Amino acid sequence: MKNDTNILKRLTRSLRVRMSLIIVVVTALLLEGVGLVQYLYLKKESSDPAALNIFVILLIVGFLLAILLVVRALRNMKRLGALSASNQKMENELHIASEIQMSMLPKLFPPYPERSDVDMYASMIPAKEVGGDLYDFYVRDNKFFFCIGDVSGKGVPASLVMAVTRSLFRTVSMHEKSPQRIVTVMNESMSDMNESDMFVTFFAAVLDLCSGHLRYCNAGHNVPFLITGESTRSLDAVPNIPLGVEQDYQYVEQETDIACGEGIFLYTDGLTEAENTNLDLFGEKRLFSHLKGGLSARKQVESVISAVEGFTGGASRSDDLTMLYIRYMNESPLEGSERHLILHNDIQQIPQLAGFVEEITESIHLDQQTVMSLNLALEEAVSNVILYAYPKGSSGIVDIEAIVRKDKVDFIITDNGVPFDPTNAPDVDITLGVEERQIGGLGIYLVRTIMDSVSYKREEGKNILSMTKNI
Amino acid sequence: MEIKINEQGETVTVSFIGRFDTSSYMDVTKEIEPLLEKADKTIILDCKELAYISSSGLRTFLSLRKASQAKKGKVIVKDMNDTIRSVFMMTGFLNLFDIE
Repeated sequence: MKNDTNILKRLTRSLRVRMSLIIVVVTALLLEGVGLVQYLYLKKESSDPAALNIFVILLIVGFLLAILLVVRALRNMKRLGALSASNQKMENELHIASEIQMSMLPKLFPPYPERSDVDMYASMIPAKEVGGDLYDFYVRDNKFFFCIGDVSGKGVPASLVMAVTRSLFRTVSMHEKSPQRIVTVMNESMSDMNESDMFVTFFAAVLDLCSGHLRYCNAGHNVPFLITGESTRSLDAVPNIPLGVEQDYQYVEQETDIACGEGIFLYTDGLTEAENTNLDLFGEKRLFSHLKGGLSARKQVESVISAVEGFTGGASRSDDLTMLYIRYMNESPLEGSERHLILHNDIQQIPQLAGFVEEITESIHLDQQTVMSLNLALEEAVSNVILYAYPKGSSGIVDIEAIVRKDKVDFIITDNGVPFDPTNAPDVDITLGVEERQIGGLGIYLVRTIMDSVSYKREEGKNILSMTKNI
Repeated sequence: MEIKINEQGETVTVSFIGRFDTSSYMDVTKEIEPLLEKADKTIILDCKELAYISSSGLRTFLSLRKASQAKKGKVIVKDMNDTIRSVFMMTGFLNLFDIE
């Protein structure tokens, strides 16, 4: 829009120049005419050679002026021709920029036709050739990463920041699974060298598709709505501050659980600030009244779009209009959320267990103490296998399976090594003094102490140790 | 896992930094071994920066404690965080050491 007005301004300016030139030329010609008439008249009345000379000089000056004006006019017209050609070129380039920008946003819906655990739809209608709104989403490790953002300002500068923000989100979220970390790292990078003082309101979230657990971090963006079967309400989201403002800002992460069929509706202020011809805003209330549980993601978004379009009528859009709606559709959350970790019989692989335990306990609100003790029990059981199940020098593997259920976590540790039943080991007596205490045996003791049940079986040449922790 | 050994007069301070798990056991044992000879001194096990300990770490602690008992020295475990303390609790180690 801004570029359109620029072109318009240039055009009107050129018209104005042309008009003024015509007026000047006409006036000059008129003056010439008057001079000529006067000259002729004076020629009759007086034969004063001084007066005659003045008129001749005036005449010559007038002609010179007229020629100058015509030359200037021609030159300006030539310039204008070049200007409109460069405008055309700029317009083409903006169009290409807009296409590049739109191609950065995922637009294929449903994005994951093979997945039954998530239903989502997004729409972005830019107000100008290039806009400052963005959204993104993708699935990694059974987690649905998504974000929405709105860059301050408009036009090309906003679109550049939009492109940077979108790339940063992709890059950072590939290595971080906490929205708070994603937002913090993005903010650090965007606040650094932000000389143009642009900022971005942003909302990032990670939905665990196994459990329905939603972690999110708001950076000054419009608070999304949570649409459940019975009601729609604003998500409880602290505002924090937009990205790019304060490099050291400590963002707060929040979390909630989403049940099957419930969804989160995100939008940018282009939606609530859409104006009709009376300059009334669409507003949150109107938006709220159009959010209903039970609609598919596409139907819900399309119904809001048609509501906004009905409201604004023919009024021109002043801002990008972006929304996305993500519905969690896993009917049996937690069940079947099993994960495997396979280690070789190399004791240096033990540190991998810590990350594994952290990952599987992430969705189930365990205190740090419990997470640590699960890590400990797992390490004891697994290091036993790594150190003793396979003859020295031979290679083997240990398979660790974790199944998170509503009220417990099961671990199943399987190996193909020599038969060994750790549950048979004698208990250590922890009341003994320093001299009598045995150095060995503590590992198995810790497993038994930490876990609520431990059982062993030998099946098809495999040692299978099952451990359960109630939560 | 990193350890720092600082000997001053009759006191040897061993600082444990990081996670003392089975994978670091061999390296730590090598570094600690010379201390078994000096177990007649006061050995301070500084756990301020010890984030995690498993049974292999406990074994190292117990070996030092046994050597110290034999040589009439002293072992003090200092600044354990709650995580380490809970493992000491579970295993009865709280009763085996002087805790500070």
